[in-house]
Amino acid sequence: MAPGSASTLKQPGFRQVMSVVHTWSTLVPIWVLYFVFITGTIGYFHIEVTSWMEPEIEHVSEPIDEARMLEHAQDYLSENAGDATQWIINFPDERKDTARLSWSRQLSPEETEGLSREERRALQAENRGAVTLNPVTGAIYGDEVRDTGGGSLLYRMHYVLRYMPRALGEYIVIISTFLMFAGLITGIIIHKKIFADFFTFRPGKGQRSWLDTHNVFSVMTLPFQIMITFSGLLFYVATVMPLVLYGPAVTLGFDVQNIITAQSADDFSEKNQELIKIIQEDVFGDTPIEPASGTEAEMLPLTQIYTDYRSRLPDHSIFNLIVQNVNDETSTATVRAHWGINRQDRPIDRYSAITGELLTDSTERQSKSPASDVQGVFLGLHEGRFSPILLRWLYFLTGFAGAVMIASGAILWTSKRRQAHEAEERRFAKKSLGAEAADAPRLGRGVTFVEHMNVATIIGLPIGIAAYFIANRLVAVGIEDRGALEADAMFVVWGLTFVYAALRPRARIWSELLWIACVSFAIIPVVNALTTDRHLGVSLVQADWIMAGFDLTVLAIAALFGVAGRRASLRSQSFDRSQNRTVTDPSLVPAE
Amino acid sequence: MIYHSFFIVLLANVCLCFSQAKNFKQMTGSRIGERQKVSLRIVGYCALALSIWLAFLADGFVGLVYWCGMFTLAAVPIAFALPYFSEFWIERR
Repeated sequence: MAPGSASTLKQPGFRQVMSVVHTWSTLVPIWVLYFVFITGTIGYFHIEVTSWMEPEIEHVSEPIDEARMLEHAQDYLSENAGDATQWIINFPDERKDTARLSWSRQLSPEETEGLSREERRALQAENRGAVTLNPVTGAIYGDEVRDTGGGSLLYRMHYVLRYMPRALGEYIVIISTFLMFAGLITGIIIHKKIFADFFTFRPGKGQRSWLDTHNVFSVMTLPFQIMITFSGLLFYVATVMPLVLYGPAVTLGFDVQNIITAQSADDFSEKNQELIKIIQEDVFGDTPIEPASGTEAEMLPLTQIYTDYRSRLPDHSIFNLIVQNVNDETSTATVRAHWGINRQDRPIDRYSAITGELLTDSTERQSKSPASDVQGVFLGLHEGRFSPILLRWLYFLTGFAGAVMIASGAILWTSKRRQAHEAEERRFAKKSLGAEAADAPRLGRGVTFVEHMNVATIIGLPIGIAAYFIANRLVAVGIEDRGALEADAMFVVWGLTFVYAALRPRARIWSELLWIACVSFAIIPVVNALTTDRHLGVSLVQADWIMAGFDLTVLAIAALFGVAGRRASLRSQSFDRSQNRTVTDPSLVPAE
Repeated sequence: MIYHSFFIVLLANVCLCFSQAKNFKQMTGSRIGERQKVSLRIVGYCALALSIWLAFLADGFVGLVYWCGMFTLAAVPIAFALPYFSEFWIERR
């Protein structure tokens, strides 16, 4: 039989097919995934990052008396937000040493009648407010605190991206996450010697070293990667599979159209509000919040409710206390504890703020359902809100390892393509310098473009993030929409790294950008020292570990980039030497 | 107890790493015997089990989340240090 006939052509095996799926399912969204992993990993410390970005708020070193803090909070809110519908008092904890007070007034139907969505939002914004409270002295930090996106903006970017409608950003992240999940499963299938190669890393071997790096970071962080992608998809279960949410809602008699169009729970139609009330009472044994009656009543001191809560649940760490229907006879005070590993199952206790009667007791609450518990645990694991500081660092390092896994995969792909392309070029050059050889460089344009994109994404993004932190210190305080300007600085600088990568020789881009990243991170504490009085010299002495920890972490990141930059410089120098040898060696010049 | 668990998971990873023929040869220059291989694996897996148990005792299910992170933290440096450490070790010998 003739070679190459249909019967002799081997069909690709299962592993080969999976290998193709693995390559393309992860390659297509690779830059989005890298962005999501880097910003999401920083998100594990978004509260600390925000604290660093608001240096006007002083460090509190004295022990905090929560009852005293509540007194300060109630005094301030009564005086400045007595006509609000809702107060929220966020308690200080091990991650932040200040309390956050916010309030809002619910708009009446008469006030919002005839307004467009934007006008309505603007009016709602006018009826909201927030300040930071020093829990020991009762000092209030208001407008003097710089407007910043803080760590929350970076955290938010990891699921809605930026400069695009929220829904579009979400869908891009959902599709990328789904492709990554497929990539993880196919990656397990194609990795034949998953245990035998568990500790295998062969340095200085080019493509093989990148493959080993990719494998080590993938296999050793596999439980984390599977958990983070699967739970990431679970967050969007209602977006991806709306019937999961709306199917049962229709069966129960909800007005689904109203649920979809309502801006908030307050906009639910009467029919929907009635149904929700029944479900809360009958299914969850919860006492729903009554609408304000309009009859004024004096509220109890919140410390009284706090004291009762502490006597019942002395070990619970309080996340916040929410007062609904302020100064109305239906006023309630809801105490919400910090999250446990199950995100859906955090203790919530509700009191009447007028009589002090306990309306909802978290100790009598039962699990909603096994399905809800499974979802709650996955979502809890994804966010890691339950984590103490040590575990939070482990989350951070594993998230960083995930970013390295993605970056090494991207480099591996281009390295393979370049090798194939160079082999082809050599073949052409051996033949002749004719038309075929002249066409050969065109083959590499796609690979070159991807290489530039890779370096500008992998190193450019951290440079952009460093610019975000530096902009926080350099952009004048008081400028309108200052937080957005910081984010713009991040993306402009990141964009410039693409231009830089396109203009510089391939052999030098990595080392140069790595050095730029090193310098960018190293100057953050310097800029901090020059523009604020919260620099390392002060924060270390005051044991202000949030500020000191941030500065030390960016210095450690700068050192990492420095080490990588040094290695890349050595490689580019040896590459330059080999290129020079190639040009001067007459035996390597193709014969005409 | 979490710290104990970390050191035990580190020990487990070192044992399991050495129980691989190529890693053993890389570090010692000699072939691993069957008895050594089995012994290292038994110690490695027992240490892994012990570290999981300690992590669970320390913090319940949150301890298991700790354990996953600690496992990565222990295993990644071993993989990356091994080739450099073995070069240094062989030079010294």
